[in-house]
Amino acid sequence: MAMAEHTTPTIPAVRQGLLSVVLERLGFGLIWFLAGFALLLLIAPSLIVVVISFTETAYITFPPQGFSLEWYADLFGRRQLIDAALTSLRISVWTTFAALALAIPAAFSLVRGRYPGKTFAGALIVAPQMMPGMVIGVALLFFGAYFSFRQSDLMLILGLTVFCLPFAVRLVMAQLQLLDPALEEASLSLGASRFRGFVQITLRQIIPAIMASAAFVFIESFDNLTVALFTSSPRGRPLAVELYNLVQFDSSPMVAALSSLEILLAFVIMLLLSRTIGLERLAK
Amino acid sequence: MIEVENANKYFGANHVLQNCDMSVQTGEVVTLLGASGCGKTTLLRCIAGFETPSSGRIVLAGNDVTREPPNRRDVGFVFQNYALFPHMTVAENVAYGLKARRMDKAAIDRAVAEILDLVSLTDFANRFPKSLSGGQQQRVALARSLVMRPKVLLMDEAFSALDAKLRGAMQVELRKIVKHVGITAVCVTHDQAEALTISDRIAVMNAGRIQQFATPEQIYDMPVSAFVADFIGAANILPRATAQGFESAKSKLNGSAALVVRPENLTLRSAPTDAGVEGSVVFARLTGPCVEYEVALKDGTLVRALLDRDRDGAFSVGETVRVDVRNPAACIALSAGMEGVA
Amino acid sequence: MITDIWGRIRRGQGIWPAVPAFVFLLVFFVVPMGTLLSFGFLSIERGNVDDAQFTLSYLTSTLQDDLFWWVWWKSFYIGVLATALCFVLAYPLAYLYAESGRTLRLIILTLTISPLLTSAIVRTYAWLVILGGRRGVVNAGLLELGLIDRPIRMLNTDWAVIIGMAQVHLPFMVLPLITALAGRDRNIEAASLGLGVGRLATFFKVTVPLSIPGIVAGLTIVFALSYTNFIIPQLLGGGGFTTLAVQVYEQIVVLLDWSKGAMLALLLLSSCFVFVLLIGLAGNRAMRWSEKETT
Repeated sequence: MAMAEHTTPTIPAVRQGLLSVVLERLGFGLIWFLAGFALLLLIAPSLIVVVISFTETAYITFPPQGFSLEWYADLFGRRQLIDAALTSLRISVWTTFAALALAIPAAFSLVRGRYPGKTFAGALIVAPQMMPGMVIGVALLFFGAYFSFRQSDLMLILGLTVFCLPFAVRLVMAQLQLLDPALEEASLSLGASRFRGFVQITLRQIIPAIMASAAFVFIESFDNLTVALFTSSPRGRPLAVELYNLVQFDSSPMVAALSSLEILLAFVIMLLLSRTIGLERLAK
Repeated sequence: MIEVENANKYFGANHVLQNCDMSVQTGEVVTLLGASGCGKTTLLRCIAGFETPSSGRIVLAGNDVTREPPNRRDVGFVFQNYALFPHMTVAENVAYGLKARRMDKAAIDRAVAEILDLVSLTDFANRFPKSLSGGQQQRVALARSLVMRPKVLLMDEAFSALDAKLRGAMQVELRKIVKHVGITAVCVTHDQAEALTISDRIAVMNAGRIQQFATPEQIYDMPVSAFVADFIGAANILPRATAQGFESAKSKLNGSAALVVRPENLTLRSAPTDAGVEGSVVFARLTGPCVEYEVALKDGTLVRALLDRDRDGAFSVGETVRVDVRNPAACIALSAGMEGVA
Repeated sequence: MITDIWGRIRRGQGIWPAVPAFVFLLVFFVVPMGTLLSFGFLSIERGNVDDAQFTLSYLTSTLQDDLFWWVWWKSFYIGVLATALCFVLAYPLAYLYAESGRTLRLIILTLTISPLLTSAIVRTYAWLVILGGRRGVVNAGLLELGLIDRPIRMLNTDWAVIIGMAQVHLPFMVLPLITALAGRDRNIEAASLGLGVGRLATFFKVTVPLSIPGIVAGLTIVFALSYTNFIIPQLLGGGGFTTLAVQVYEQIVVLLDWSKGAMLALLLLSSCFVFVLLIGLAGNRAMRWSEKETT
C-alpha cells in the first residue's frame, strides 16, 4: 500500500476485451493449424508414394487398387536399373572414403591448429556448400575439357567429394570443438604415448561424428542428381540419373516402387544417425 | 625432488615466467599462490611437461627433464576440471595409465581396487564420471593420478570447481591423503585459505616472479614485500610518514619505507587519551566474534582494525577514536614501497 | 619419429593436415570455377578448347536478349513465392517445436530431417503423383467428394512448381528457425506478458523480432536453393516451363552450347549472391528497426 502512494502516474488496468480474446484465439489457431499442415506436408508425399507402389493397376492411381508386389518384381527384373544401382553404390562408397579421408585431418587442423590464415582456410574448405550442385558439376565438366578428361565415374566421384566435403568437415569439427583438450594432456600425464591418447581418447570420442558424416555423405552421393547430370559417364549412369529419366518419361508404378526403396534407404540411414550422433545435434 | 632452475617462459612478447627458482623437498606439499595471470599455472605446466621453458632447467629426482615429454616424466596431474575420460567408467579411468604401461590384468585390478578404497569410491567403480558429484569426480582424478605412483603430484586449481562448503572439507581430505601416501605435491591456487590449509610451503607469485617461498607462518609474519603482505591475510600498509605518528612503532620503522600492521594488531580507544593517532570510524562490519572497523586517520589514510567484541568494546560510525598498535614487535618493516599492491 | 609426426598432427600446430583438402579443393573446385568463368568469355564450339578466343559477345548478347530478362523474371518470382510459402509453413512448425515437450520435439525433428535424407527426385515425383492428371491424389479426392466434375489442371503450372519447391525445401527453413526459436530467452516474453501485452501481440512484437537471425538464415538458404533448382521446374512445370537454372541445364546438356551455358550459370550465380546479400541487409534493417520499436 505504501508503494501505491509513490507511483503517481496510474497505469491502466490490463484490459482483455472480447475482440482481443477472439483475435488471439484465431491467431494462435491459425499458427497451430499451419504447423500441423507443415508437419503433414513433410511426411505425406513420401507415404503416398509408398502406398501407391503396391497397386495392382498398370498406371499410378490413388487410392491404390488391390495389393501386389509385382512392381517390385518388375524393378528387380530390369538389368539397367540394377546396374545403375550398383554404379551408384560404388560411387557413393568411394566418395564417402574420399570425403572422410580429406575431412577428418582438415577438421583437426581447423579446430586445433594455430596458424595465421586459419579462418580463411576454414572458409575455403566450406565454400562449396554455398554453390549449387549444378555449378560444381558444370565447372568440373568444363575443367575436364581442358585436359580431355571426360565424364566418367572418376569425375562424378570428384564432383561429389567437392560437394559433400563441407558437410563432413563441419560435422567432425562440431564434435572436436566439444572435446576438452585437457583430456589428451591427462592421457599423457598418465604415461600413455601421444599416439595412444589420440586413438583411445580423441578418435574414440569423435567416432559418432565420423559415422554420421559417413552416413550423410553416402546418402547424399547416392541420391545426388545435380552434380551427376553433368559429370556421370554416359555409359554407366548412376541410379539418380536413371530415376530422373524414368520419372520424366515412364508413368508405370514401378517408378513408385523404386522411389519407395529409396525412401526405405533414407529411413535406415535416419535410424543410424539418430543412434550415433542424435538428431538434436544434427539439426544444428 | 623438484628443482626449478632459473626458468623463463615467453609467449610471444609476453614474459610470463621470469627467472623462477624453486626447490621442493621429497614429501613436501608446496602451493603456488597468486592472482590469475601471474604465471603460476605456466610454471606448473612446465614442471608437468605440457610447456617447455624458454630457458632454464627442470630437474625431477635428479634427472634433467626439461626436454622430456610429459609421458616420460613420471608426474601425476590433476586438472582444474578433472579431465576425466567421459567414455570410460571410474575403474577404466583409473586403469587407463596402468594399461598404457602394459601391466597384467590381475595386477591392474588389484591396484585399482586399492586406490578406489583409499579415496572411498569403491562403490562407484562402474559409474561414468558424468553421474558423479564434483567432489567424487575430483577424487577419481586424484586416484587416477596416484595409482601410477608418480614421483610428483601436480594439481591445477583442483578445488575451484567445488562449492564453498565442500571445498574446505576436500582440502583437509586431500592433505590427509597426500600425507598418507607421502608423495611430493605442487598445487596451484589463487585462494589463500586453500594455500594455508594444504601446504607445507607457499610460493607467492606476482607478474611472473616468485616473490616469496616460505612456510605459511613465515609468509604471514614476515612478508618480504607489500604485495605478499597484502595477498596473504589482510594488511594495513602504512607509508613512512603515517607510521611515524605511532610512537610505539617508531623504533620498528627504523629508516624503512613502509610498515605492515595486521588489522588484529591495531586497537581503538575512545578519544580522551594521547596514545596513538586520531581518526574517525567510517565503517563497521560484524564478522562473527570480531568487528572489523574502517578508520580514517587524520592524514586521510584508511586503516582496518579487527577487534574482539567482548574485550575491546564497541564503537559507532562517526565516532572519534585513538588508533594504536597493540604489539609493536609484530609489525613488519618493508624496505621497498607500495608497489605490487592493488 | 612416428610419435613425433603423430604429435604434430594431434596438436595440429601445422596447417598440414588440412593441406590435402586444401589442394583437392584448389584443383577440383577453385580452378574449375575459374574455368567456368573463362568459358563465359571464350568462344568455344562443342567443348573444343584448342582455338578459343576471348569475347564479350556472350555477355552482351545475353543481356540484350529480351527472352533472358523474361526468364530471369520468372525465376525470380518463382523463387520468391516458393520461399515465402515455405516460410509461412515453416515458422509455425518451428514455433510448435520450441513450445512442445520432448516427444513432440523428437517427432518434429524426425519428420524434418528424414526428407533431407530422401532423394530430391523422389520427393518431386511424389508431387507428380499428388497433382498429376485425373488419377492424381488431389483430383481423385475432389472428384470423389463431388466438389468438381472435371479434373483441374494442376501439374505444369507455376503453382505446381512453387508448391513443390516450398515443400522440398521445407526442412532447410525449419532447421535454422528451430535453432533460433528453441534457444531463445523466454523471460523476455514472460516480461512482455507480465506487462499486460496480449499473447498474440507478444508473438509478433517479441518472439518474431527475436528470431530474425534464424529467419534470415532460412530465407537465404531456401531462396538460393529454389532460385538455382532446375529439377523441380522441369518435372512439375512441364515442357514449356523454363527458368534461368533450367536454361543452364539445357544449354549445356541438350544444346551443347557451353559458352552460352557458362554465361547463364555466371549470371545465375551472381544474381543469386546479390539477392542473398539483399536478404541479409533487409534482416539487419529489420533487426535495428525492431530494437528501436522496443526501446
